[in-house]
Amino acid sequence: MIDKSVYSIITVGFVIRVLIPLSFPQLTSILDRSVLFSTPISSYRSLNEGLFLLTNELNPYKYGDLIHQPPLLLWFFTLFKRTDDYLIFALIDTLIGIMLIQINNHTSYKKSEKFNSITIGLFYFFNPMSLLTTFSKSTNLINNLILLIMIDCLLLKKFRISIILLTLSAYLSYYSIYLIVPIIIHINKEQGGSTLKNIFKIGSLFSITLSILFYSSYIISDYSFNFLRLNYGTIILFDKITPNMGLWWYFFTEIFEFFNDFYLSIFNIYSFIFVIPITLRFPKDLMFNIWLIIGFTNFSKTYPTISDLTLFYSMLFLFKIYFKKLKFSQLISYLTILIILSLLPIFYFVWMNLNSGNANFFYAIGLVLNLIQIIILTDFLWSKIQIEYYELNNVDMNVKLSQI
Amino acid sequence: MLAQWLLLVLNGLLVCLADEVVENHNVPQSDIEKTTISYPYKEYLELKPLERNNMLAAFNFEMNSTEFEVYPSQSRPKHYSVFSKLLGPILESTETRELHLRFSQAWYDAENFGKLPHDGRFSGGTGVELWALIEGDTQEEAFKKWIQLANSLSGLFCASLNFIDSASTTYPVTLFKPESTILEKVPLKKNLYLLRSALPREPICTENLTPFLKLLPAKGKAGISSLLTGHKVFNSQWSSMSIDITTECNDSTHCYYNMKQAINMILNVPKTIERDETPIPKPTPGHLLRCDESKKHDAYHCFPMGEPTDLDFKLSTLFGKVIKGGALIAEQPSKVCADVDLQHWEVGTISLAHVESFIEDEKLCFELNTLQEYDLQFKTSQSNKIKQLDNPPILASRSLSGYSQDSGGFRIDLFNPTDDDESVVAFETLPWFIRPYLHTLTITVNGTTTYRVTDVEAKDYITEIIYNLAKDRERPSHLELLMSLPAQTRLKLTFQFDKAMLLYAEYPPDANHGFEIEPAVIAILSPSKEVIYQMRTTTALLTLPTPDFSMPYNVIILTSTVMSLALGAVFNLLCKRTVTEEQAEVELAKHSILNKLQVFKSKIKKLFKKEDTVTDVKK
Repeated sequence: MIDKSVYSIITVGFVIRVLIPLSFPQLTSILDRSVLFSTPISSYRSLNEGLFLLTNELNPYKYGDLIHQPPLLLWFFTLFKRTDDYLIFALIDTLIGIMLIQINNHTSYKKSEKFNSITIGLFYFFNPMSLLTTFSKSTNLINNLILLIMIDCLLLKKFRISIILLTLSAYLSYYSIYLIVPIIIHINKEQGGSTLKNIFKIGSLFSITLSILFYSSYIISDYSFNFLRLNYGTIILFDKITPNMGLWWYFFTEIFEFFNDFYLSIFNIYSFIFVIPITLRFPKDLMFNIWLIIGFTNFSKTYPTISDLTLFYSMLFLFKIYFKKLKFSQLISYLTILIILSLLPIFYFVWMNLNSGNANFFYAIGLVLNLIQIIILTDFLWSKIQIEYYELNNVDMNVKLSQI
Repeated sequence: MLAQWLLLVLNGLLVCLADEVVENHNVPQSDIEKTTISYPYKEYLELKPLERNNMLAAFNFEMNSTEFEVYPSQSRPKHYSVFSKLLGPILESTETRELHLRFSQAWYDAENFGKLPHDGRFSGGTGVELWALIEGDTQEEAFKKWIQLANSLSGLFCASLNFIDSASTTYPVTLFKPESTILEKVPLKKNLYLLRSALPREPICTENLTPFLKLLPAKGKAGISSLLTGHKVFNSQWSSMSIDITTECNDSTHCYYNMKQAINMILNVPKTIERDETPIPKPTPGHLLRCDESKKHDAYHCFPMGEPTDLDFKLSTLFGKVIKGGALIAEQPSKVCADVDLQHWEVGTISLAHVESFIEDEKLCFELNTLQEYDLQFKTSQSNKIKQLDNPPILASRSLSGYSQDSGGFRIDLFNPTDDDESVVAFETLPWFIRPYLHTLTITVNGTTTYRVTDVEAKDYITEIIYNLAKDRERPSHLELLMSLPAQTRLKLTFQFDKAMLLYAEYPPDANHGFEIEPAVIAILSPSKEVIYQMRTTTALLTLPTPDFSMPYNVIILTSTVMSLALGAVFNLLCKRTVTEEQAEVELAKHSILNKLQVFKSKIKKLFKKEDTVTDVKK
């Protein structure tokens, strides 16, 4: 299915991902220090610190409050030498690109409604956002890869594997657990039979996998369940407040302590609030559901990074059909995002290093980024609603629609 | 009845008083001054000229309490003799077996001043430092007592020791080892815990000196302590006050507290005299300027000469007071020694009493054994001729690197100027908002070769790392680096850290001033792991990222607006019915206000019409 030019794109993409970190080894530490690419829960330096402590017989999960990556991820990296890490990340990112192409091939849309593999490949492999994420060695990439493999398995109807992958992804990043709602409904519909039985099957597979993961983590973290608080407690309770692109950090820095717990629950509910409505609104289009949920969690999650944006915008190209009825021009929204993404590090630098600006600049531009993201998301949502209407009612595409 | 009884008592009192008066009259004057009762108390002052007209004044006091039982079978009133009554009950209620307190300020310039007095045993780092050995069943219990101890001492010494909490307390491993004999002689009922904390931001001043002097039996009214006044002690180049209490035992029923109090300070003699003469700083008048006449020199030009070398001063000019007699309750007379080069310095006493001088350990010493006032005079024409100073066995400094507010690094420089290899410990306590990355630790040897901590070669220099990870708002990072430092070698240690952002209310007023990081303690260990020499680096001033403190409402409003915009937009799209625009217009028209008004109008019209018809019928 994949033709020669796609192969060459993949190869070139991989070579770039290997060669650049090799020739500029300091690039990783520069990018890793930037808040756009690294957060306390995904940064390469905290991964390194965890590995250092683990190999020196000081279990970071038992004592400290420093490592927020899941224990199995840390264990995975103990298998390699630190000098080979660039290769692993290059490989993971290349696989993400390949998975995107695969998913594009496996979707149920008509051929005319899809971009060809070359476009998808070009967009992912030479996208500066994905390149920089790879160079920053953010551990979020692993989660992105697992999510994409899971989507592909769902499309190929390998449901058991996809549930296992979903569990793995939820283990790695917590927010992926939201996806279980559309996936249960999808699998239930595909397999037929009793709903309760299906839910029980999926639920038991999910919990068995999760308990295996937790138990192995429990062993790795020296027989302590402290890692649960370190990994998921930090995400849910937003313990480590560091500036990032999201909405949470400035809010919780500035909020009065009395209201802190109240708003924590509000923000957490907020990030989940659309999962069920979206699933119920578009029961037939699982991929679009997943994409929407990923998009909305990016907007409402505690520690968003560029790697989350990359996943969202790369998956966007799987929905060529919805580009037709967009209100805002694609060019304008991409340019806006580009400008904001270049302004973010500048404002951060001005605040942290030059001391000539303050936190408000960085916060404001982050706010605009989130606004743009939600505009793009709702634009696609509206486009999807319109196209569904046309197909359902056999109406001509040029008829203008509205909502009441 | 009552009156009679009162009279009796009064009578008795009068008789007693009369007896005493008679007794006093019988005793010759000289015998009052040499009281026959002596208490376990000693005091000793050493004065030592240093380079560049500096002078080290070292005040040492030592006293013991009366004996007591460690675990008394019944409670009975206690008497502590010369040991302070204020401290005893605090130590007992918190089961503190050893207590060490340091108040220090300013910087000790080891290259000019030489070794720290007493090998640094009684010198602290800038601010307040406290460590104690506390008995307790569990660490939690010991910690509770530690907080109780800190709070009591806080009131006693007018210092912010009450700010000590779990986020600044460490449990040292290699350093601050206990010295009390109670450990060997008495089988203890509970475990012992060593706790330590430091408050680097604490300004040390007169209010800390006054309670310090109150602990002395003479309370600063007599003896060498009568020289000490706040505005002189804290005007010095460097000063350090220390209190060390240990529990010494023969067996569990015969224990006593031993308390050593010390004040070490370095005074710059010309500056101190100048401040005395001109309390309000003024420019030196022209005729008093010391100009180098070998260079161009006229009314407009003056190349300053070096420091004057002829000095003539009294203790009373340095301290503003004279010694008000010896502390006669001490078991030995108060002793004052001048550690000077006698070929170039003249030291004499000025007193109405006769003072014998004698030489002890090559020092010129005096004993103060009367109630007369004493003063000492120092005279020299070559103040740069001093006794050979002991060179410090290690030189160390610590600094912050990086200029960003969200991350930075520490750099520790160590230099071993001796010809022997040393085993060195660097003790660091970092507050939780510093998140160190130990894997970034590098060692540079003599400025040439750099090793990372993971390299095999690094093991030659860093022999052991003791590291306790920090916990946000609960525990500091506690790092002890055990190193072997070869002779004549410079080591540079660096590591990187991230700075955490605090919450709005956690920033102190004037958040942009920065946060003081307590000094690192650098110590040299003997092969048997005893501390031979110890020193403190300076504090470090760390700036943290700050939010805009005027923004809370704006941030809450703006963030909430964006969130509700998103919620509204998505909710509308998901829930509303989709129709074509034509249909929508029809539907809208049905529900529009105009339409509703029209319907309403027509209804009213109908109503009126009906009424009309009714009236018609009546007609």
